[in-house]
Amino acid sequence: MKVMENEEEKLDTLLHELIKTVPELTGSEMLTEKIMQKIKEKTIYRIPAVLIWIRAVSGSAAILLLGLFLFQQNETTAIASTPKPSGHPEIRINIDSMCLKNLNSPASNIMALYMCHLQQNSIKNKLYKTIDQQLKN
Amino acid sequence: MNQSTLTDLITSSKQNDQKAFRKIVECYQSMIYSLAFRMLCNEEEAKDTVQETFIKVWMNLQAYDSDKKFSTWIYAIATNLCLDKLKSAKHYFQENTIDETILNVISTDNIEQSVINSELGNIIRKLTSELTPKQRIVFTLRYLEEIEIDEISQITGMTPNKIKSNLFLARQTIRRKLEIL
Repeated sequence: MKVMENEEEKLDTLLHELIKTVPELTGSEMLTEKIMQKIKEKTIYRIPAVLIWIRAVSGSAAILLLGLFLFQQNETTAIASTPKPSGHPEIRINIDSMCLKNLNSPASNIMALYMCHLQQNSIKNKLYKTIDQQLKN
Repeated sequence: MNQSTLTDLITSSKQNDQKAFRKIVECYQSMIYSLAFRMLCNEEEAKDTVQETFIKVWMNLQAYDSDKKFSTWIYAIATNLCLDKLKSAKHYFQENTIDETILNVISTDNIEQSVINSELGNIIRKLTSELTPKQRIVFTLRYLEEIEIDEISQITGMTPNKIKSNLFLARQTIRRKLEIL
């Protein structure tokens, strides 16, 4: 126990001496010059705070605009896919999806597609005529 | 340097005023050198750390929170740099050979101070050679730089309990070393 106390005392004395002996910087002016020289070199590359702000704001604006554009695109697709109400159904060109499904290559068989379309229209016309007749009666 | 002068210098430095920053360097470089030397026990490494610290300070001055103590902030930067050096695989404590000591001494204008530094470095190196980098950092800050535990916590980011346990282990290791001597 006494040995331990002795060691503690030794350590405290040593620490006290080490605190008193401050390592002094020799050639401090030269070191300052070196630091300032390095800083001058770095200053060229230091980005001004305003530029950082401009970058941040324009970055956020770009993301916002991209989001808006994607949202708008989605909306347009949704509107285009919904059938438009029309007061003249007889002049509406409606290519039947059934006709398209039956065709393997619609581009090469455009006549068949057109015939199918005409057939569909004639069916509709007949239907309209029947309704018209019924209404007149 | 009083607080208002320091605040003015920091504000000017933030606006790229190099003259103002020079005054900050002149005021704090000895303090940072003392800390780095006590941690690294090598004059050249300590001087390099002082340079790196001020370059980092200059580059990150915009991020400095003026509510905090400037000395604590600058100490934190220097401590982190020292810790990186102590942790790096390249770093090892080797006692200067007689040739190196003589070269160091004769290459400076202040021979007496250089001898004192060299001796001091040897003593600290011998005492702390078995400490881990973290123990060494905490030991230097508390016992050699006499910084309070709360401030050490701000500097190192360690909890006060962690600091205390590191200090306890450091003291124990050094005491054991003294028994052998």
